[in-house]
Amino acid sequence: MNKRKLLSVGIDIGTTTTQILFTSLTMETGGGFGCVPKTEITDKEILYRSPVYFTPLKNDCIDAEETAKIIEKEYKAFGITPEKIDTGAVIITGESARRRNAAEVIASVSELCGDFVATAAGPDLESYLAGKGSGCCKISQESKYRGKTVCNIDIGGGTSNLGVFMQGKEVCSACLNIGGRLIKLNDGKITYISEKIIPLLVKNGIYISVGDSLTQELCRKICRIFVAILESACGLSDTNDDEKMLLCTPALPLKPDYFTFSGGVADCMQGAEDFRYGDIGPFLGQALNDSLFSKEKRVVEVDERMRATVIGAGSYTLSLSGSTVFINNIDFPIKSVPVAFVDFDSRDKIDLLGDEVKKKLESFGRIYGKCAAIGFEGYKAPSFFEIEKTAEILSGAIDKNQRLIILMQKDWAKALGQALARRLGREFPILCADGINVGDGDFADINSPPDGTNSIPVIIKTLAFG
Amino acid sequence: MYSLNKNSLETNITDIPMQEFCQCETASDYGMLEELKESTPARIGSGHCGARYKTLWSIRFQADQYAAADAVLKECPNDVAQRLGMFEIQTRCRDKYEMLTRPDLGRLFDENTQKIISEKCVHNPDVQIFVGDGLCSPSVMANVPDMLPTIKAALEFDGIKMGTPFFVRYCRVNTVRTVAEILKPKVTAVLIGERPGMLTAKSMSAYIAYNAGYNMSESDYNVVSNISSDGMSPVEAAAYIVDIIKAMLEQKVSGYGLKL
Repeated sequence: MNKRKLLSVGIDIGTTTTQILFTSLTMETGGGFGCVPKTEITDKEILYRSPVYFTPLKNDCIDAEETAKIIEKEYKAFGITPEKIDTGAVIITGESARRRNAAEVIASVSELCGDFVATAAGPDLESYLAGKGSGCCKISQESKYRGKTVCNIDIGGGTSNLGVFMQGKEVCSACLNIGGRLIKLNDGKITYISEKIIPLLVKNGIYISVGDSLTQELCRKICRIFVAILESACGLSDTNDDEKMLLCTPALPLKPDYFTFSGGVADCMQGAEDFRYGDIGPFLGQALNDSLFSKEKRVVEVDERMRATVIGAGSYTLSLSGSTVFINNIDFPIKSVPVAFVDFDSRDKIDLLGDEVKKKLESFGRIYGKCAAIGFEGYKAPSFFEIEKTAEILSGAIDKNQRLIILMQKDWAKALGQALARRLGREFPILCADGINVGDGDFADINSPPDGTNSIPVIIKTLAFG
Repeated sequence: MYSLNKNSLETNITDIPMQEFCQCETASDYGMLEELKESTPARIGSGHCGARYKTLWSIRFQADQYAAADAVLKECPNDVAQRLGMFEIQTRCRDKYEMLTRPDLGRLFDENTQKIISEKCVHNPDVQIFVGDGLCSPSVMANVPDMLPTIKAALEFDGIKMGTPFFVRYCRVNTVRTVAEILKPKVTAVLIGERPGMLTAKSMSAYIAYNAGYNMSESDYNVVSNISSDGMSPVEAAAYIVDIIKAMLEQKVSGYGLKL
């Protein structure tokens, strides 16, 4: 048994708070008699949690410089330099992902974070990470919830991310513009109202604007409207017309059986109703306590609320490829390579492969200005002839001036890689890895196999900046 | 669920993947059952009639069991070597029965056969690969046609000299030692039928050793097992075997001491 530890960093820059977390991931290579050595992540241990910082803002944008300072400070507090970091993710979550300078922020912080730290955001990924980090995913694997769906609702400052899990797998996700900091106050006076919610307030006969004072009564009323929308979005009540006004993704296609709550607002479910944070978070937390979620006794307690997303970013973004991969003449790390996914999951589709790869690569080249990786599913037990044919077609369809990266699901990457090398030559840079699930338009960060292992660490993200 | 109907007699039920073969009619949650079935080729979702298996389930069980037993007892067809483009030789076992009862004879050749090997094969190659029926004869035709060309193409590309492949009837793993003593290759490998079971009756293993011979120890072998369309696919296994061979030639060692 061969063990190796990776140091992973998770950085979550949210609408309201910024958090940093260092995790130790243990990779173990083992295998029985006659088996191919298999590398797996066997343990995750949180080494350091930063305090929860308010995200520094400047002109209603994230202040890139100040954010970088926080990160620098926390690296010092933990006593580590960026070179020591093996993996991890920086994510810009909540409303801020839609703010104008997300790309600038990522650019200013990613240099601080280490060589192989993915930079990603997007509501689907957030729902997934929060569900993983809160422990909701683990709960869905307990025998008590077998066959049931458990939905994690991560309510932050700007958005609520819904991630539905069953048997440890994410089934679906959705995102709503509901959060604790959509209205901000100072001395009882409103200093900010998110424009996302103004039409909803007007529809419900609430006319407030910046400078008005907000009574507790009115604040409770607003929070009840938000909670009613959450109830409807989760299928606890009949569909509420207001729901559409706040949804920023398609609605959940199913009604989950159980719920877990995470995020800053979930942390406010215990405690008084007041304006101690200068926002409506505590009121929203209380409104959740009195909601149908609690009344129907379908809420399951989780270990991590406040830090769910950052734990997800630090511990659950990395996946490992299968152990039989083909690597030739490739420079690692490979950062943010777009994945062109082609429909190739049965031997019948082999004849269409060439045209499709050509078409996809061309359009990806036009959009991103760089060579995309090719992703496909593959099928069980291909023959020698089929591998040869696939290699022949692929080597004919690609741009010979670029490296070739193939990410596939079924276990035949090494055979295909060898067949491709025979056609493209010993010098041609090829990376062919299997055991990886990718979708069209995903981005991948890929690193070299850590010493003593055969798997390559891959981070798949749904959205990348820059 | 698969049930008996008038077409059943025309269907070979062992052709249905185990993951799709479910006879349970009393599940409280069929979606869950389906997921469990998908997750494993083990025999779950049998259903029952009183204390017993259902007819179809027990037929399937017997069919799989006999397929496994047959795989051990069955002869490879006479033309198997021809179909693989090789020549055929036989160990000192006279028939299948002797092969099963006398493992010692299954690793030796009589003098005449030794001469044939010596005459027909290239001596001192980098790698000598041969094929044996072992304890699972159906695995030969199921896997070797995909494995051998994959290995050959990859070795040739790397400029590694491959010896003359042949087929050994009534072959045991340790035939490797005898072959190595005759041809003196750097690396010797046998692709041999092995371990037929309820899941697959076409399973193959590869035993590979550097500097093999009578004096080697069992721990000098590197093994890739469970090669079949239900296990590690033949082409990927072959690609992996190539890496093992290359590592052996580089490190000049095999078995426990080999770093992969």
